Amino acid sequence: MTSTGSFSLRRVLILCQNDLWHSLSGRKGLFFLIPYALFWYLILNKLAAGAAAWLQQPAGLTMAGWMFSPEMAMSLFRNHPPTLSAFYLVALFVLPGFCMLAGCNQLAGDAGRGYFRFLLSRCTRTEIFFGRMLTPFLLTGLATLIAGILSTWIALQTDNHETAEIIAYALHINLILLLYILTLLSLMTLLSARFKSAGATLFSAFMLVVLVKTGSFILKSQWPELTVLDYLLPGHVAGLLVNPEPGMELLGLGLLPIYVLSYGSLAWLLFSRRSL
Amino acid sequence: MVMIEISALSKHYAGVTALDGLDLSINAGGTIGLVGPNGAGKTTLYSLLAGYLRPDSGSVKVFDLPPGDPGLCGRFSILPQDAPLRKSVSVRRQFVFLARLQGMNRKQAEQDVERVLDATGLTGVAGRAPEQLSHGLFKRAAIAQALLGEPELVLLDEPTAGLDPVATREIHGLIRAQGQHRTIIISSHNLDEIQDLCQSIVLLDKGKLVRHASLDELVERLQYLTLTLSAPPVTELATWLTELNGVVNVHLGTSGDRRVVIEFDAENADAFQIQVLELLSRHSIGIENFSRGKDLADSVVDMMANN
Repeated sequence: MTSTGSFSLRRVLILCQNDLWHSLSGRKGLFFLIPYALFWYLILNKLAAGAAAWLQQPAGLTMAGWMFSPEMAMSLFRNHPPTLSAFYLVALFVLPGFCMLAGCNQLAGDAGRGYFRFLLSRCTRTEIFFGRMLTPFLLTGLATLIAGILSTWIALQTDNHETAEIIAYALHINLILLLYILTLLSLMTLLSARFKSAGATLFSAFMLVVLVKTGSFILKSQWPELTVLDYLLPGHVAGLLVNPEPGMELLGLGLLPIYVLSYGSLAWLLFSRRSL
Repeated sequence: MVMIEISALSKHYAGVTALDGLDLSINAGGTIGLVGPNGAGKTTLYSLLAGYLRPDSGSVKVFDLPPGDPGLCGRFSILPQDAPLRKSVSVRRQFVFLARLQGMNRKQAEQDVERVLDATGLTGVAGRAPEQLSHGLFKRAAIAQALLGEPELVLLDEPTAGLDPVATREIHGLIRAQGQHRTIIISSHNLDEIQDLCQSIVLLDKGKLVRHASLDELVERLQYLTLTLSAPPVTELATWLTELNGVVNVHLGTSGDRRVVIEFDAENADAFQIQVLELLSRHSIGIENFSRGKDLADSVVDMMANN
């Protein structure tokens, strides 16, 4: 028994291209893109008006120090371009929610409706899986990159840092954000591989967050070491990624691919066995 | 050439056995009918062949490859039962996407889509989204997608279910034309359709193979005559027919049934037929239809009863 074919990147890209077109032209994509664009429009407007520059001032630093920690506030808003740091912070904390919206319909809806039956004589489950994982990544990643580029442009106008420093920091945080998006989406891939509709996937993601946060809050009061439970949700790594202590960012960065591999493998296991 | 090889294939759903150790081998060529009562396992078999489902045990090979193997992409196509095309996207656009997945570049895909749309009479409505099509047109579109490219094997699950007679006839013409170039397997409850289109039959019941044979074998053309009279037969007809040389058995239907099936054992079947026609003429019994062999429906019912 010999196979004459193999995994085809071309088919993955065709699947992804079609899905992207469908997302951008249909309700599915607008459901994510309109709130996302509106949100960043408001944030970038504030940043352009000098909101981040204020965070560099003693009053701003005191407030940021009260919200996070004085060391973190100093690292983010004094040692790095504050506009980009503000963009980075906001992105890290809102991306889990937006990735829920962008990633809730990767596999669920079409598996539940039976649409994949039209594809399975033309491509493999593996290709469908990767194509569907790639689409929301490109959608969210590109939308975030656009916001990142606009933030960089604002930083170049408003922040008192060298241009090279601003560009290097922009590259640094945008690359981290792309990996962070992939991580968040891999959890949605896992849920999407299990459920039959985008709504059910979204609801299950929301419930998972509520359960983990509530469970962790209750358990931590008895057993402080159970703080590790929070790390079931990849969004919790955001705290490590902005932590100024030596090695913490690196630890966070190291965790991101582990999430992608773990959740991605589990998702593939479910999808490969699923009745379509 | 063996196209499909199935060995000891079983599939269960929540305690219900859909396929029970099925062994089946299907050669390439012609149009094959997959028949059986509801719950016989026909759709499950299609789903396993296409890789929608995984078997609980046993093995399936299509072109000597397991379902889902990349080597099968584009070599077979399927009309899935009740699966929807994407909403809000025109049929033409969806077909171009599907054709590109089969390995064509955009230009080739567009040309092939126009060929298929033309062959299926969908050119005029291809700009519409699937939800804007009538049931008949949607079904035709679902069949059309299975004809994109050059699949060697086409699986059609209930291709004419729910269609009006005109649309059914058009689909039959399409299947007949396609059947000359590729192997087609049709699952249907409509035995007239199967008898009309297929050269061989696979009969399933309770997830097991009852019979896999050519249509000629199943309808036993050499041993039976089937007549449809213009009026229900008089009771004496059975006696008159039994008196003819070579008659083994005469089966009259239940009250009101105008069909008569004659089993015979004669060296010269043509001469025997003439004897029957003369007898009917002598008794002024009109006939609407006269055919060599049993109806497929009768054969199937007999086989199921004996299974």
